[in-house]
Amino acid sequence: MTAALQLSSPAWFTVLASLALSLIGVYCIDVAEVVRPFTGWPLSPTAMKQLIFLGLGISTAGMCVIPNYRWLEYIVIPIAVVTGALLIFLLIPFVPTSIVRPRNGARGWIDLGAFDMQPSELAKIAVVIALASYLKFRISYRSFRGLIPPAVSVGIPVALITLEPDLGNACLFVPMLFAVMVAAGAKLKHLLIVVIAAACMSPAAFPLLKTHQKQRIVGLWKQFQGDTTADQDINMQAVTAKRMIGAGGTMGLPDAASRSLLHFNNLPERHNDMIFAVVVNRFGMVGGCIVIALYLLWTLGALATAGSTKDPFGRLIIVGLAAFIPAQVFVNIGMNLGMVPIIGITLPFVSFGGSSLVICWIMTGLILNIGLRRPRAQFKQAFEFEDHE
Amino acid sequence: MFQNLIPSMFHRRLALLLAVVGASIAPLTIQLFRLTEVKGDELRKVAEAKLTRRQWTSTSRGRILDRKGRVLTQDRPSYSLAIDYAVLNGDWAKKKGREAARKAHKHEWSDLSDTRRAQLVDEYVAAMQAHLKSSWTELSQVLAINEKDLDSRRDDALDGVERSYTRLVNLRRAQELNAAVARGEQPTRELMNEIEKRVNRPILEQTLPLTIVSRISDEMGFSLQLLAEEEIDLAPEGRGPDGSGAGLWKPVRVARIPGLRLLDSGDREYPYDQTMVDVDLSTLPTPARKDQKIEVKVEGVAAHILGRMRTRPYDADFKSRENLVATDPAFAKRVLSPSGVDRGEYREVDTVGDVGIEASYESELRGLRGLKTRRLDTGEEYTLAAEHGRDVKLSIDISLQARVQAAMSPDVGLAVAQPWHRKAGMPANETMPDGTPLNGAAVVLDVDTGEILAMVSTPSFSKAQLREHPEEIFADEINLPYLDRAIAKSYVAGSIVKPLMLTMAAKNGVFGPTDTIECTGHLYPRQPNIARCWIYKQTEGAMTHQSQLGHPLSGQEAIEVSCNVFFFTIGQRLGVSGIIDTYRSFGVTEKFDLGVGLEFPGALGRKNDGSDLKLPDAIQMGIGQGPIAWTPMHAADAYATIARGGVRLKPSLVLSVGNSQKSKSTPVDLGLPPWAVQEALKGMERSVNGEHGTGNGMKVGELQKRESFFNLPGVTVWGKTGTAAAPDLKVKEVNLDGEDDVDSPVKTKVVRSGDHSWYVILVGRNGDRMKYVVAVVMDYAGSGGKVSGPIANQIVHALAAEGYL
Repeated sequence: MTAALQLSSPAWFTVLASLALSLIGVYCIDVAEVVRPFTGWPLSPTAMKQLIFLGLGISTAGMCVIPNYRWLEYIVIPIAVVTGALLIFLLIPFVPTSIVRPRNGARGWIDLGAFDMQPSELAKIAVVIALASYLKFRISYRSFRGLIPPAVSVGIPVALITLEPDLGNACLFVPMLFAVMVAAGAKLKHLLIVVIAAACMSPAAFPLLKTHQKQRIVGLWKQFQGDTTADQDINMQAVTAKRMIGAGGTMGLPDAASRSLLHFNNLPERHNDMIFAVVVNRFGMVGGCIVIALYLLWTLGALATAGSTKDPFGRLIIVGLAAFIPAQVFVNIGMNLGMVPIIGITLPFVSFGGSSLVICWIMTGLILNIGLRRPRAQFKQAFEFEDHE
Repeated sequence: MFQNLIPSMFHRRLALLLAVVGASIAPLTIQLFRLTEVKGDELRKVAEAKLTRRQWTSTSRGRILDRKGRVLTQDRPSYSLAIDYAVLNGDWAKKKGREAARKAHKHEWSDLSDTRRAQLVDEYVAAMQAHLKSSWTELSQVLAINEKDLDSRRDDALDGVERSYTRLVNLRRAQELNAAVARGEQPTRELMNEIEKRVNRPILEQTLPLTIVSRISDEMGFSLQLLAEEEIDLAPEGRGPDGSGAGLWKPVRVARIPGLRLLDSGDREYPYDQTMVDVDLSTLPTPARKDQKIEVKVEGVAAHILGRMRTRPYDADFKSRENLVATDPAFAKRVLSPSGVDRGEYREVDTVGDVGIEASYESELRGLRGLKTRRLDTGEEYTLAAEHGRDVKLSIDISLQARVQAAMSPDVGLAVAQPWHRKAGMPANETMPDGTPLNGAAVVLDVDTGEILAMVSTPSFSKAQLREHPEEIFADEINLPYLDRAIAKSYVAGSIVKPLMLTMAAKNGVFGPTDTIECTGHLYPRQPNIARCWIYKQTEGAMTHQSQLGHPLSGQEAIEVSCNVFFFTIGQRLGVSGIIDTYRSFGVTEKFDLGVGLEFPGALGRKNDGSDLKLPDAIQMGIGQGPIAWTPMHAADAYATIARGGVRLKPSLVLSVGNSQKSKSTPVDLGLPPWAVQEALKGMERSVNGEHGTGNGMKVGELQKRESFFNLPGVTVWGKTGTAAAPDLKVKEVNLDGEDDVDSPVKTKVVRSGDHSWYVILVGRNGDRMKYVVAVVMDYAGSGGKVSGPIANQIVHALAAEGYL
């Protein structure tokens, strides 16, 4: 199981991008939190916490790099069972709120005393590992019926997360599943049929949504129409975020000006879901583009790492993990720009939040682990099919 | 080709995934570009506006002063009770309920489900609403105002804000559209949506307290202030809003009367509106004389001049103000704030000048609000101080005005139908039995300047009367208290025009310095029943002025005796064009634009322009009868012109506005021959003092001893009486219910008939030139001398009492 480390790996790009984004995040959280001009040190309490989470995340990522990732194959079932158990535990009604403390109406966190754990974040990694383990040597998913097992295996945790309810995080599993299936070689026409069918059926799901979820969709529609009647109500957060983004202009505002503007415009969740608005307000369109470019760099590094390894298990893990980040980025930035309903999704590496940051760094660590351990032994060519097969 | 480029399927799929990521990012970048680069400036302005807090500060209206600087009207500090808009429209209860629920359950709030949160919020909101209702009841009890009345005031205030909002949104929309059209943009749906977004923002009134009760006494104000500062615990521990739900509730500290504000507000006060005036009855004519002084309460002193305020601006006020700002750069410069907001713009709760000087000088009297601007980020404050409205100084002397009005008060006994007003043995006027108050007008002008020292119209009305019994002012068809008779009522001129005729006849060369005219009793030798002299008519043909004097009449003699035949002849000689020229020269058909409201310009002929006049009209108009009508102000102006030797100077009422002196009108020399002016003045002097003068007094006592109308020692009076035939005053017949009586065969009834009584005098100290003109007219009062003469005499006394003579 041991293999020589190959230090030159495109995975380092993901590390580089993760670090840059995390540091931008710490500074922008400070900007979002404090009106006084930036003095370097000390940072605001929230930014300090984030810095500590960053240290924890990097350490955890470092620990994830040390053991060979292929050990994961042997513990995939325990991981899946534990994760499933945790997700179910969240939904048990009589669990006291001192252990499972609902936030914003969602039972998504377990209170571990020193910190809270969000099992749905853990589920992201667990589901990817389980899916990769299941698909690594199979070809059944080349048939339409063969798509059902992986869909079910992902569908179970998605259903549990949806019941918390945490629709935002649950939705992120869908692009991950598609990305893994695409990378694994599932027939594109099958996947396209699924997408079209889902798109056609999605209006039927509207009545099933909760009231506030419907209001947000209606609010978004109003924004598209230029209807301002909900600007002080359901659209307030999005409208304020757009205002802050626009105010940043090309190069952004000076530190003090940006802090004042953000504070007195009272942008909600500016250290968290709306951090991208803070980034653009402070650094302008250029800063926003740099952040987007860093995510592209992270994704490119991850996919390049997947392309450089021949281990099918490693390949699918990277693709699965890599799918979460751009999906989350798309939703979060879309929320900030008023293009996607606000559904409580953080901006990876940048938004405040321990679980989110640590999990993102674990993803980076796993990708680096795989990138550093490209096996010299020739694997069978994985996921190579002719179109007619 | 793609397969050749990337032989591995897996790598092709990776490339596909990368392409999908790139394609997903593209719309985000486009939107980012749109927000920062296309809409960046606009969004930044909106964002930066949040860094600034603006607060308008109140101002006060300018004062109106009399010629001696006495304050005729000013804003008096008083209190108004106002309630926050959010409380009145119910938003307060919702917001406070939400906040209270969240605060009371802050520790477990994040753990609560949406349903539970909504339930808690509903409970607290209901409690807040119940508290509002009970506090409203308490407020009505404190104010001693019926709760329904208080509800009605609240609804009115909210309606006002709603109207203001609608109007402002419409205005903003129109401005935005005009600007878009000016930029060449098409009104697409997208543009309209953009515009709607901008125009539908809340207006200032929706953030302010709304006045519910005005003019609150200091004592009540103090009580309310204490009440406004009081807070209570809304519900005791362990009780729900409805008395149930033990343990659910936590006490919430709220204002006892939510949103209650006590505002300093300027109440407009008129210190001379009700004035006590001493009148010395010993200077009255013998029949009314008493050796005592009485104190007369004069109501509504200068009410017609000053006008009044109303409590809500009309659409026309808004438009007028906007138009003024748009068209007068100097005005705009004065009133606009640095950000271009009219600091004096109307709000629904503002008071506005309704009539009189208050209305005509509204834009000057109206103050400019101050503006406090505070930068939230830097703490810097900028203050644009409020500017009080400009003072308007009038030419009237308020004490003189009050004295004149007192002289015309029925309480004194001169302006009441009296037996001594008519010849002995003559019956009283059927429509005005003895004791009926007489209405009329008086004007006092300064000859040298044309300034109006007093301008009285009776009956007048005080602000209290207007407030308490408006129907007595606006529904009185007989006395018409709201009408300013001095400038707005049409009066047949009568014989007071005779001095004017003489001077203009001389100017037109139809009467020379040595000319005389024979008074034969009637103008047409073969027609003794028309165009008769009054003396001929009175003595039933036994006497003419020629027989009285023993020779044909000179100009001054004709004025002294007020010979009709003489002035019929002058009218005949002047002809239609000469008569028109005469009246026009003395201002008939011209308004004075005094700024106190409706003015009657005077009428010449039935078409008002003289075009339909014939020679018989001109003959009648020679004695001030026929189709000629004017006002007391015209009469005073004409006599002042003669006193100036034929130089006309339009009467003026406003001396200055703020620090700017009001410019006088340009003097116009009528070119009257000096000998004619002297002849006219001599005639007027003889009219007052001469043996045969029609204005020389009245016969009193059993011996019928003549008593001069004027009894102030040390002054000289020049004057002319007039007894002008007036059309009957008719009103609609009404039945017992006060409605139009449709069963009445005539539909109208005559309520006043007879002649208007004129007396116009010039007065000055003995040996000095004439300084003041006094014109008096009393409606349907009969003899010019006997009714208006004693009143004119009292005005002369008033001038002396105020130091003018």
